[in-house]
Amino acid sequence: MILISYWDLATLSVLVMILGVLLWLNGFDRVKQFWWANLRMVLQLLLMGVWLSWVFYADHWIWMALVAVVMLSAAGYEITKRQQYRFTRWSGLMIGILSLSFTALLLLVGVLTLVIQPDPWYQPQYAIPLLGMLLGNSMTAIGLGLDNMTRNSVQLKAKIEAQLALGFNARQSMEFIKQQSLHAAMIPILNMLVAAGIISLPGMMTGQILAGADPMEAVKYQIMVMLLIASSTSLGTLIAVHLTLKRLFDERLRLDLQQLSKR
Amino acid sequence: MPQRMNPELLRVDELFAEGMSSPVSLMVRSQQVWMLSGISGTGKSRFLKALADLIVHQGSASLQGRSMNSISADKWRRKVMYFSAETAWWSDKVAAHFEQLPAEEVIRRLGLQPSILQSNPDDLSSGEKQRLALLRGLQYQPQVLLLDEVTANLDHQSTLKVEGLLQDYLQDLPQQCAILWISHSPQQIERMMSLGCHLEFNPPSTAAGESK
Repeated sequence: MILISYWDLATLSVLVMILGVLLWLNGFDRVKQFWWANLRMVLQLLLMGVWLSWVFYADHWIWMALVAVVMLSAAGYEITKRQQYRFTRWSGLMIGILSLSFTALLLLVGVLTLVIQPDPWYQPQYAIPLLGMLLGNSMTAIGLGLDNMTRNSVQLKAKIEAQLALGFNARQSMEFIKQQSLHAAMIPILNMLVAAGIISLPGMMTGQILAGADPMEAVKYQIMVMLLIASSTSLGTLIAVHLTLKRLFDERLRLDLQQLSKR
Repeated sequence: MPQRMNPELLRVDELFAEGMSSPVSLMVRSQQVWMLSGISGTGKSRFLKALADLIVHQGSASLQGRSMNSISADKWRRKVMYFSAETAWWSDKVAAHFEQLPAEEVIRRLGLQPSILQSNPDDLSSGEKQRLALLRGLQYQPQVLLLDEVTANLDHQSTLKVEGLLQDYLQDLPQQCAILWISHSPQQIERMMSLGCHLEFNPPSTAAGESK
């Protein structure tokens, strides 16, 4: 494996600086943000590297658990941050974290103990990157699904209440919105699956091949990861949509939009 | 009046929701039509919505002795059904809103063409939609109809057709049933009063909610 020096990285970042200037000359007014995003990415990844090396060497399950909790909460927070209508109180964050942990954690433990079987099964080298990929993708899907659902509930209130008045229950009167929300949530993952291998070389596979792994082995890993992502996003979205649906109605099946606040 | 002898159908006890000028208590007998009138803003719509358990309220109501809270909300609303002045449609085809399509003669009776079932609700006039919304609700055979100005957008002829259909519904439904009807038309109140009672909603300043 050919190692990259810090000098190589510094050279590349000069390229980003120059491109920022070029963008600015062409009227792009967010050059500072562009540079800041790059700097932030570098710092976050360096921090992750230091942290990971430490967790790898410490080799104790408690650190692994801590990493998982931090990643889960960060993903849950990101979901609520992207909502146009947020639940007041804790409901929003809880829905996010619950649906994420149910799916991502469940699938992660499943694949580690039954498929990859490292020793011990929580070995960070496998667990952390896998969890990261599962969380990243489920997070996007759940965020989109929730946003679509709450936004439509506010905008299409009359259509929901017309059905309630006819004696439909919560699930029935939200059916037409649920369909749209699932659709919105699943589109990015569908695009990703369709593009994989033809339009895009998935990041993980690229990394493994660059690091000198046999392409077929890298491909098998990637297929496994893709299938895991497909499962975790679908399951996570389904759980989130159902939890939200329940939350939106009170005990006498009235649409309760008071608990949503627009940002 | 003979219908005074009819059995009790709906009992409302101190029902109150935000926006109403005062709590309402009343007892509705089977086959009765109650006309609700009064100046706007006295909470007539809020009263009907509370009666259908669609909004948060105090007080209680019971249908044939079974109280609202002892039945799940969706079952209650199927029996005590609220018909809004503004109709809403959740599918892009009228027919998709029916589990059982209404008979052609019923549609014609309301002055509509049966082909209207294939159209998109967005393309229809509010008067057409009001009549269709009535059929949409009646397919579930509710026992108490809570009508909130359902003929507001109709011409005189269509209004009479709707009134006729509702009177027949009262007669023909195998179960006991009754109608509570918000109307601003004195003629309509006059016509329907032959069947029942009149409840006047008064502005907050005076005593309100008398039940006779």
